Amino acid sequence: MTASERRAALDARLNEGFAEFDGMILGERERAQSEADEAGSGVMSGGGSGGGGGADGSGDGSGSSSPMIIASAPEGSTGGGIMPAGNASRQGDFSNNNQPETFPVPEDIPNGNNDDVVARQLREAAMAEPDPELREKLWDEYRAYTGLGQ
Amino acid sequence: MLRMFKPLFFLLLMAGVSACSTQTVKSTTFTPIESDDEGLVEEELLDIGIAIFEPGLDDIPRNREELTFSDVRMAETYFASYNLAGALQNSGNWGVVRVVPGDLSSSDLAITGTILQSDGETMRVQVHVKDSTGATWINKEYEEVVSKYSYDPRMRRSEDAFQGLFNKIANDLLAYKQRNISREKVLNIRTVSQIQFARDFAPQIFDDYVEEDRNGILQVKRLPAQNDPVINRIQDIRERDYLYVDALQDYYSNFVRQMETPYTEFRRMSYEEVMKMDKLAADSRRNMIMGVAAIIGGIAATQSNNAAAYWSSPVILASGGWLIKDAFSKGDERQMHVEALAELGNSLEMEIAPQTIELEQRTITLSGSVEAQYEQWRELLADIYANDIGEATSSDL
Repeated sequence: MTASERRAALDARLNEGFAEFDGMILGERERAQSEADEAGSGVMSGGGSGGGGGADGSGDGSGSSSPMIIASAPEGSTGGGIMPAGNASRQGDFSNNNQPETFPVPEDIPNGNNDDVVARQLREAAMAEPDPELREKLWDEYRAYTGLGQ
Repeated sequence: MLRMFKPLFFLLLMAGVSACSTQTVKSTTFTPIESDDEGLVEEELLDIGIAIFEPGLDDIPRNREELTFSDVRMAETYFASYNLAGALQNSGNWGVVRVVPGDLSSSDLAITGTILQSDGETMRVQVHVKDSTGATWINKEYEEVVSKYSYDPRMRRSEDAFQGLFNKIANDLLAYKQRNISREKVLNIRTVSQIQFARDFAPQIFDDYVEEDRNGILQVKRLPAQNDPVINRIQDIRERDYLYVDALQDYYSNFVRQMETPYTEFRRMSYEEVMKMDKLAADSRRNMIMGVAAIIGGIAATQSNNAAAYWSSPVILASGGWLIKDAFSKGDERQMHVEALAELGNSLEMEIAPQTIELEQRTITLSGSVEAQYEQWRELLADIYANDIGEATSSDL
């Protein structure tokens, strides 16, 4: 095996780890969301949408008995629950030129206008997943979560 | 002559003690959160990590031990950290604000704190803020004493009774940044935190990118090359790290929401009990001092040559006795309030402790899985690096 083949194999293992990790975290967030729903709140604190408190000081605390939402990223900020789909980097960040490719959405999947936070994250993870097998698993999770085909 | 005035002196002393009883002035003003007037550029926003506060159970003064419930205090550590995060996030002066359970070395700004006192009436916290280079911004004790109106349903704002304290911390942080931190410093802090994260995952590559100066401040020695594939991989990992921390925010958010109502009610009732207890303790202490002073004065009066003082001595002695008896009685009454408070605290502990334990267990489980995954990634990055070095070496030959 050449050095570049070895590197490709190691990179593939890294990517597999990423997909596994994303699934684990999304599962946890889904569980936390269900618990929040059961407790009578429709809002999850993690800023999956990345749209809460911004530089204008307008923290988004709507829909929750809690006064605020933490970890809701200002638009374009790194982190804040945004799936790794190449969000804009800031000066002082290292540049990330590894913008993931996005893959086409299966035909049976509707547009995501009505997606909630978890569904949107599943959709984005599936669209960014290069491994076709893992990608299909993520779409299956999306279908199960949104009740498609039931 | 001097002996003649001795009883009078003791009576004046008693009056003086009475007049010197402490009065706590409570502020009903609320510290609002301040926002930076100058338009902030997104690239200059610093992200903040807040470690779960320390419970400070080893630092509780003896006279406050009976008012402190360890399980309630543990829950308060999450509540306080979360409310501070809320103040900072709502100020709009910062990037992403996250409550995190462990290492803060790759946060632009790291906040640690210890709860020193929390009894419904007073909250005191020690707060330490430093940036990723290791420079301390704030190391200060904050205290807020609230009035009964903070718990009055008609007067209550939507914020927590002690939100003003967290707003003060957030305002101090902004003031420090405005006074001392230039745009260049902000960018340097961000670069150092990025390198710190990279060092954690690939120390063999990034260890010599920063070095500590003689003041213990990290200085950037070199920067990664543009298009460095290792940096791209590490950036991918960092995005996952953000996701993990966001999952933890969900845990904390749910926990705080669950505890908020019973905890606020506990603090309201605790406030009333603490007020009564403090008043009784002060009255008891004052009466004891006055009683002892009266008895000493009465004894002195019996030795006096002054007829008026001599004949008043039984009255002074009786008054002293009555004051001492009343001091003991107030002490007993205070004990009843201690017991009432203990009942309240135990009741809340029974409600809150299982939730705290569950939160801690879930955090440990998730952190364990995440750390195991991170360890694999560290090994893979090391293998990739070794492979690249080998390739570079062989191509050099």
